[in-house]
Amino acid sequence: MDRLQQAIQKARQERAARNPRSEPLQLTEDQQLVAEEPDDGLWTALPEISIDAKTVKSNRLMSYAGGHDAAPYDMLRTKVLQQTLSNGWRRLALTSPYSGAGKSTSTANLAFSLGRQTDLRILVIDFDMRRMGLAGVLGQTGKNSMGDVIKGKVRFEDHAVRHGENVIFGLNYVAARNPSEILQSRQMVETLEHIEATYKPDLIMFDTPPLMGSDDSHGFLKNVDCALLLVAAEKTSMDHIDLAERQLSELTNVMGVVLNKCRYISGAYGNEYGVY
Amino acid sequence: MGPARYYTSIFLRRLPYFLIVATIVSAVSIILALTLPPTYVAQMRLIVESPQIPTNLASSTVTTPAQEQLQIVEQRLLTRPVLLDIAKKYEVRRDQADASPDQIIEALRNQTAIRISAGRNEASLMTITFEAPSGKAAAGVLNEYLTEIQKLDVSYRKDRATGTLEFFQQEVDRLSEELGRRSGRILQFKEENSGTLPDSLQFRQAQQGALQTNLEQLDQQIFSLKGQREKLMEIYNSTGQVVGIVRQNLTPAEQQLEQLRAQLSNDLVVYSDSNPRIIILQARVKKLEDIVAAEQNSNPDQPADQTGNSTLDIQLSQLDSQIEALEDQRSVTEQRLAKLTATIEQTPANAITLAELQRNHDNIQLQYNAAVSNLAQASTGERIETTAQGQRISVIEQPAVPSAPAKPNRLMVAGGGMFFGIALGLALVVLLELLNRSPRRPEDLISKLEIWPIATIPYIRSRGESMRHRVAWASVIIAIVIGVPLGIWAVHTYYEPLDLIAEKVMNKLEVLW
Repeated sequence: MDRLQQAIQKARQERAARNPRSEPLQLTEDQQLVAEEPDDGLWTALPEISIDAKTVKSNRLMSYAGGHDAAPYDMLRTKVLQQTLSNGWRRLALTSPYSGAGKSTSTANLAFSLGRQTDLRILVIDFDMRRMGLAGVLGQTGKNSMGDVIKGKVRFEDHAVRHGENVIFGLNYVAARNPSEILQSRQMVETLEHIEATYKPDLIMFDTPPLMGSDDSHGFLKNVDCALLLVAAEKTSMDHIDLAERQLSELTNVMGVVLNKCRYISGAYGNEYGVY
Repeated sequence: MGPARYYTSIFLRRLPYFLIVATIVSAVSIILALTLPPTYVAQMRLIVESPQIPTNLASSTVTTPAQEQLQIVEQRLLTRPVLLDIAKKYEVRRDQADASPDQIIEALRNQTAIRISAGRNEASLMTITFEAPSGKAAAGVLNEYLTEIQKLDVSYRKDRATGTLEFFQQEVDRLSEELGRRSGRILQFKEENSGTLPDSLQFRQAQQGALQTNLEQLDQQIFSLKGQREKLMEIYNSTGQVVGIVRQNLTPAEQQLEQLRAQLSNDLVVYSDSNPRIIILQARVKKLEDIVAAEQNSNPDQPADQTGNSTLDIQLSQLDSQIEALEDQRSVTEQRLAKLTATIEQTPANAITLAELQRNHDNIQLQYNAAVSNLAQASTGERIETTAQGQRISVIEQPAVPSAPAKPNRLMVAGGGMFFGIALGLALVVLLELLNRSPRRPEDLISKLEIWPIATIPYIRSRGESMRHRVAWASVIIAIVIGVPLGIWAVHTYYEPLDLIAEKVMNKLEVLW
């Protein structure tokens, strides 16, 4: 682990040397992320999704309604925001060693958590194109996928959906045929830049395919600023966590490891999610 | 959440696994404890008594060590015919009627436990226990064993003692016969070579010396007699006016030959050899010589040496006869001497042969003596054994009919089984947890990978799911707690009793071993 940490440290230093944009965190009035107000018309033009209570219950969207249940995701949100602000990161990928760690659910919950901070603008894009993970979690149906957007078949404006005033979801309703090539194509980079330029989000979150299952995300992860590694307690073995983290740290900045589905929250390291 | 609560909660999550194992083992053991048939155990103890007569006074010829004796008895006791005999009288198995002989023997052997404790300077004890379905059978089988053991012991010792005695008896007979043969050979040899035996050597050597002096004396006497005769002849020739001893009454041919020879010698003075006269004379002489020779050949009985003087003749003939007698004596003496010398020369070889024969005889004699003393000992030993005063196996504790079953200890079986089941279930849970190498809580990540998780998301169930989960959980536990024992009970009652299944499994395992 020491070597790994050293490697991460080194990578960070290199990156810092490359773009000397790393500003210290200043929460002054004029240093806000929402300096460039995009055209609100663009945001409100998108169709708004509605999630019925049953889906919220059964798909474990705890932070949809906020309150006590959303506390863990709010905690994660706070930490993520701290890191992104202090490092000037904009693109955040959520990944995991294997599937079934709860990426899509966590992405959705984190998106709702971030969305409750109304001064932020969040884009959530599902790049796990083999499944329709996020769409399934949100209980949405449609015709196209993000693959079609990248290939230029559909415009993102026609494909994306909105939640509330400040969260946009780019979902996959159908499975794409060759996700690996799509994710590593130049069109993807251009599409992303186009979307960013259009909507000017403060943070873009990507739901990505698992690291060990395929090579889909390896090419793509170079294009993000940082990544969260999700591991499922009692399911993902230590060796896989270790390996995935090494791989991830070679590709991008590892913001941290999120231990999901934890049944034993202890006082010392976990958090007391009490009502106070 | 403290460690105790943490481990408790892990255990609760794995409860079904634990319960399955624990209830199966416990149910099986409880059912076995309740249904195992009672077994009665009888016991008897035997001791090897040392000989009653001290061994330094008179020892038995059976010197099997006590431990060995017990082992021999044990091995002979558990043989097929003996066991089958006993099984005919008592019920040693529950289903003896339809069990094969092999199974019966196996049961007898398995239910018999023989423990031998023996050592140096210790009494040798043998404890035999037998398990049977009924107390009577247990004690009965042991009684059978006892009679069999004593029979075996006695017959074994007696056989050995009498065998030893017989052996030495045969040995003595054989050796005495051999001894007789050897003595006979020596006697025969002595008879055959009686004249040339070493014990008469000195006598014969003395005899030889005497004969040699004798011979010398004879030679001297003959010599002196011959001298006398010559003297007599000389005296006669010089005094008796007779030139030579002219032979009387010559034949005409001889006279003519004399004349011719005289004439020839006279003529040879005058004439040469080649003179015809001489040649004629010579031829005539030759012819006459032939005639004379033929005449002499035709009558040889004529005494050649007669002087013609009668007194002288008488004296000479006396001397001659004396000389002849002495000569005879001498030749006889010489023959005897030659014989004696031959026997003396043969004596050493005979002495060696005789010594060899004697040595063989002595060796056999030694063996014979040893065999005779051994025979004496063997017969003493045999007496000791036949009067049952040697080392023997005797009973200390007679087998008694047990009043209560000794096995199974139902409480132990049930309790032990439950304890074992719980331990096995716990072991399974622990094994599962050890095999699952994944983080369970943030501490695991920190301790193993030194990663501080940025956040920990608790596992959350929706309301309906948690209800469903609880119902499922409860039903699974109830199913295990009730269903497993029921299932095992059903197997026990409707399929096959558990103890039989256990027995079958054990048999299979034994076969595999």
